[in-house]
Amino acid sequence: MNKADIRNLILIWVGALLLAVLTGWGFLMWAPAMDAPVPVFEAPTTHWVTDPATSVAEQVRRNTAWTITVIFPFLYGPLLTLLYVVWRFGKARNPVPDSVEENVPLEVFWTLIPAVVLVVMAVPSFAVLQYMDRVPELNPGEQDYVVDVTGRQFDWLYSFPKYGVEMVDDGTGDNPLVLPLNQIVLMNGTSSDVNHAWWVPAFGVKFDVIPGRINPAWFRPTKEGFFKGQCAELCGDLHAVMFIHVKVVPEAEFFEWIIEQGGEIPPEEEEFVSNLLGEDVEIPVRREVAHAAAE
Amino acid sequence: MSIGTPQPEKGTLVGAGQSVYTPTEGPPHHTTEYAGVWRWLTTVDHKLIGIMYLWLALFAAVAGGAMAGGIRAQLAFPDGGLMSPEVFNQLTAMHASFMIFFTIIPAFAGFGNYFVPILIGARDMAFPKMNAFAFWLLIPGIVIMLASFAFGASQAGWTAYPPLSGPQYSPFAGMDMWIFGVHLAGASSILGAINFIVTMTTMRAPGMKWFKMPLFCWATLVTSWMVLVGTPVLAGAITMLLTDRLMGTSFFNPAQGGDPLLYQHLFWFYSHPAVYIMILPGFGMVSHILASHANKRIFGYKGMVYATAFIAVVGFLVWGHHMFSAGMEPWLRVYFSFMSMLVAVPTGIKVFSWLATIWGGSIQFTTSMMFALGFLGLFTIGGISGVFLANVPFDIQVHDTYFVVAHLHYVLFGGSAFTLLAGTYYWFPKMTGRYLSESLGKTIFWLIFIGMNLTFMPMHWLGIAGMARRVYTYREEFTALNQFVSAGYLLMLVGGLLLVGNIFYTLAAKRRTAGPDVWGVNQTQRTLDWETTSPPVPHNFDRIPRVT
Repeated sequence: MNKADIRNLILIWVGALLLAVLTGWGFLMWAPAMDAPVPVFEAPTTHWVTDPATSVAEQVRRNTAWTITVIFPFLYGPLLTLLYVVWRFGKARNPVPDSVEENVPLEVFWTLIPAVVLVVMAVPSFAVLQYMDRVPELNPGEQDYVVDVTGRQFDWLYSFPKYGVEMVDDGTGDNPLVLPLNQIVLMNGTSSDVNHAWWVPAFGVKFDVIPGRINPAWFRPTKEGFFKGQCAELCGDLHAVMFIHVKVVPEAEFFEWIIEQGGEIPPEEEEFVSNLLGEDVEIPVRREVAHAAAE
Repeated sequence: MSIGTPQPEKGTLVGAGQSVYTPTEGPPHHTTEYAGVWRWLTTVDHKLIGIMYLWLALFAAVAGGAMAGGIRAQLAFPDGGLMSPEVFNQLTAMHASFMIFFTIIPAFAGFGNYFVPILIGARDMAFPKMNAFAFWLLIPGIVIMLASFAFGASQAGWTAYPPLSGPQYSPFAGMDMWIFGVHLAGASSILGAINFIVTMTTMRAPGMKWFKMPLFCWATLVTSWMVLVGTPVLAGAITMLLTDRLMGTSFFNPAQGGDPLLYQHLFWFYSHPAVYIMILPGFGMVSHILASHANKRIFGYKGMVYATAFIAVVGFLVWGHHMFSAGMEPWLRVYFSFMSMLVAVPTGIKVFSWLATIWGGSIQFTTSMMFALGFLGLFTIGGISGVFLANVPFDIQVHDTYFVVAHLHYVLFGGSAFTLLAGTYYWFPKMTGRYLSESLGKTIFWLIFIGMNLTFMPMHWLGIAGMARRVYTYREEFTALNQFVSAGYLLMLVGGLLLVGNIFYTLAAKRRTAGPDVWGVNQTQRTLDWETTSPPVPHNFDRIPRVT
């Protein structure tokens, strides 16, 4: 080993660092930013990488770009070093081997550096994880929307307990789940038979639904559109076609859909919904509840 | 090739852990013909048992490879239509079960059986009869697995999560047979592990201190401890599944107070360490190959040993990273995420030490070395995607997608299988006295290496783009990448068949040309496998070597 080799090794690792930064940047560029226009109702392939449709997915996208930037030096570095070794230290080019067997400072160095880099990677990752786990506070005048989802071989049963709406997405896409734009959606997932997983890539949301348990998730859809997902836990022969369809529409349209589905609005929300839909729309209010509350 | 090599000082730590020995003396060496069916059926010789393990692994690899072929044929088109979804799910479940329980684990057990006693200078394993018993347990195991196709094979994936694998949703006998098959493989592993631990603890040649033991032995020792701690937990989990299925217990039945998630915890408590069980012996092997073919000694021997042990310990503390989306306390996800990232540190030490080993070397590019170098590159890619999967926000998006399939094949195929191929080319002349064809070997390497990357690299993009795993049909925009994947399979198939053909062809040859030091590396390496004849005499060494 001579000085030229050492110099080349340093060049290789500097190159690996630069390549990693380029890759992380390229990942973000390949994936357009969150406010990029998306053709409404015509984008069945939107995805958390290319086109995040919730704030959760956007966080994951940025975190992934960061992870690439800090971790890929350890991909490019060893691979380029390996190629260099194959080129430089073949028997023909280097007939006499050196006899280096240990170098304690070097070993300490390559133990500590990855450990430090892992912390640099882990801290933002845990911040995103906390964001995914903690439902944000509601803004004044805002409400959240609770959806109970039940996986079944091989379709999805949804219910909005507050409005008394139950509906089934049978996988054909004819009857999608409808969610309000820019509102916080709270999902509670369970299963009535085997394990499934609810997964819509554009939302950056995936949670297993398991019989006997309730797994929660939250997200805030930030784009109007029609989104596809599918079951992400092997659940039997038709697992591959257990699709999920979600339509995100403005809040007013959401309530129109709820009423169309035979849902009833609780009395305390009557004014709110009536403001959304306009004075001339008749709103079905859940009278029994109002009566019980009066007593 | 050893011209110009510095001689090791007597009594110092050298090479893959071995030191200067007293050469064997005694009557002239004579090779032994291992002939006769009865001899093979009744043998308790660790070398014959090791070879039988390797034959079994080769058979299971061919069977599992054929199943992969069925999967890739179906997925060459979005609506393959070659087979029913049931058959497809059987193929994915059985492909994995064959490759894990009957190919990779037995293959390392085979090399371990053959070479651990030789490398520590022993005459045989500590418990030769138990050694034979451990091997023969695998035969009914693989027969039951194969036969289960006639009774409706498991469709629940190799993970066999209940309730899908439970009595209600998998009411066919094939699922029970899968459990029995895994049980037999597990029992075999446990017996083998006890044997390895006792052998290495008590039967090292005089003078071979722990830190003079070659790295392949260290890796097998650490792996054995992992088997001993982990496999009984898997046995417990699948026994509970079995009693749920056959005796009406309800460990995993939520309708009667059971919990399907309990199975996942028990399963992964074994099956995460199992991924290290399937790679650590390979780490040991390539340490020998990289060092010897670079005409150097392994860099940072002690660091390698400590890193191996550290991986084993941490390996038992990270099982939850397979379950990030299954529902667990937020702080628990932080814990599992952090511990999983921590595995990257000792793994990094290993990769850097291998690079430092070949750096400044004088590399002899044999087929064995090419597979070892290929391993180093491919395993680095698999390790990096592993760090990504330890990162929870990313993992949740790609969990149960083809990204995971890509990752696991980079570590299990690019990792474990490449070390096995490297080891096969490295030690085949030692085991048989005959060299496999080097020129054909290089063709095989390039076929498998290119095919491997063509198959598994596009799977990363597929997973990130949203293709779920274990699906028999997919959206049309994934077609092009899937066809690359299937084409890559064909290249690997050709390479694999050439290798099998070459093995049979070479074994049929009458001439044994390999001397004791097959690759001319022992001037530097000083390991005992190159000190005995090829193949070794039944008692390995005429005189027990003395290590100084």
